[in-house]
Amino acid sequence: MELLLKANLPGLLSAPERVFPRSARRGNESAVESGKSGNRDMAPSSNRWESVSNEELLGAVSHSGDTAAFAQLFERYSTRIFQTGMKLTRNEQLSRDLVQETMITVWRKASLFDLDRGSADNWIFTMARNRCFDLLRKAKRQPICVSADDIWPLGEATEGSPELDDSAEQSALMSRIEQLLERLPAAQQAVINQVYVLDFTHEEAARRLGIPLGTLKSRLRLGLDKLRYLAGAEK
Amino acid sequence: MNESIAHHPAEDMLESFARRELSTGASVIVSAHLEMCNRCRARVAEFESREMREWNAEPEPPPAETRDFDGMIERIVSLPRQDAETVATPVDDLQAAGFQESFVKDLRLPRALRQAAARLRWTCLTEGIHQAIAPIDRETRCEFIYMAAGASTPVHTHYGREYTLILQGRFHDELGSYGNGDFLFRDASHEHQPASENGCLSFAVLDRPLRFTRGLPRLMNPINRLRFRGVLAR
Repeated sequence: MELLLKANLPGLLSAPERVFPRSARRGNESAVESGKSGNRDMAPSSNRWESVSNEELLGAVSHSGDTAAFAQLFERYSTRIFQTGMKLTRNEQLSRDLVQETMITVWRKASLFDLDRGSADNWIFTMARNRCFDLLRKAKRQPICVSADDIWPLGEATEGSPELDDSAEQSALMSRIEQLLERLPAAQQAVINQVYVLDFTHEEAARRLGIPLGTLKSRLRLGLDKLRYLAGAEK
Repeated sequence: MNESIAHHPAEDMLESFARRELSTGASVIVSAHLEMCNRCRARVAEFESREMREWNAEPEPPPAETRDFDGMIERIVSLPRQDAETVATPVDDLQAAGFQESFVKDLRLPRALRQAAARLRWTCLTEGIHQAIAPIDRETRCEFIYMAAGASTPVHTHYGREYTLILQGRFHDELGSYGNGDFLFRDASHEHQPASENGCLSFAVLDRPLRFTRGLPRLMNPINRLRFRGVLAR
């Protein structure tokens, strides 16, 4: 059961084990610095996004164009994307370009990320390989009439996606999450409900609940951590 | 979606597709098939998740000074977040794209073909055979082919490989009969003469031109290598 949960709702339930180790993250000072300087409206400390899942970071970029969340994503993924580039192109400049192109797409298309159709890892990895395909064609001076994203869709609204076909699995999963949700403090349930059920932006949810944005975000994070813990404890 | 599909891309082609190793033309036709075929889509998803596991399993590289991404974040977040579309508006309806055959009026093109369909020029090659080259890449020759009811092409074989995806309708050749979503592979070992009773729209990707093997077209073979079907039409 817990495997099913992880596969289907990574944003809520996957542990952050696929994220870079903490030591590696600290090693990249420049990203932390840029993240801090680019982040104006919140974040008493630059580390506030460190323990947040990749999916929530994408959500923050999508909802409010949060530059600190983007910097954190950059930090977690850039080296890995660079590696992928080196493996596929064996060219350092192309691989740097790949990091830039991929992260530009993350910045611009975060709103197209759909939790129901796969993890952030999956989405960003697919995107990195798509950008790589386009970059290699450009390097070979091939015409690019068809974008790689049209050949390997990023899990956006394509018809008949396997994840959505199995409604029995989906509803079993949903009722499981509802049960876990009930074990959370009411305040945390409320924010998760506003953001993940009613689909309000963080700003809207904070306004509706009459709490500061920072409070909403920390409650959201605590709530998701607790959910993850509960899902893990069931093993 | 369409469980009656009997012909699929070979296993290694699906794997190469997932690894982004095929030419653009071949990738496009496989992608279009996947949109019509649950079985192959699930298979590719397996290959993709294997790639994904490999990606996650790779050891963490040491932070390298040579990889100076400094300033990249700042540059990116200063960009507007809306995507600036520069490509042609995709077309999912061939009639809207100027193809005036009522046969295609209910067809909705697979996503991978919609960019290419935005810039088609249809030509009538011979009685009942219409063709439109899709400008997709330089390594392959990609085209939509419409065979009207009762039409057939000259007997031909291939120098290279030809992949054909049936988008709508049915055609048959010496080897069998093929319908919606079927994905065919032909090479120099096959000599065939496709014909359609009730009409058929397909998308084909060739890595080399065809070679006709019988009658008049044969005389034109040297030229055919350049524009086989265009020559035939004259």
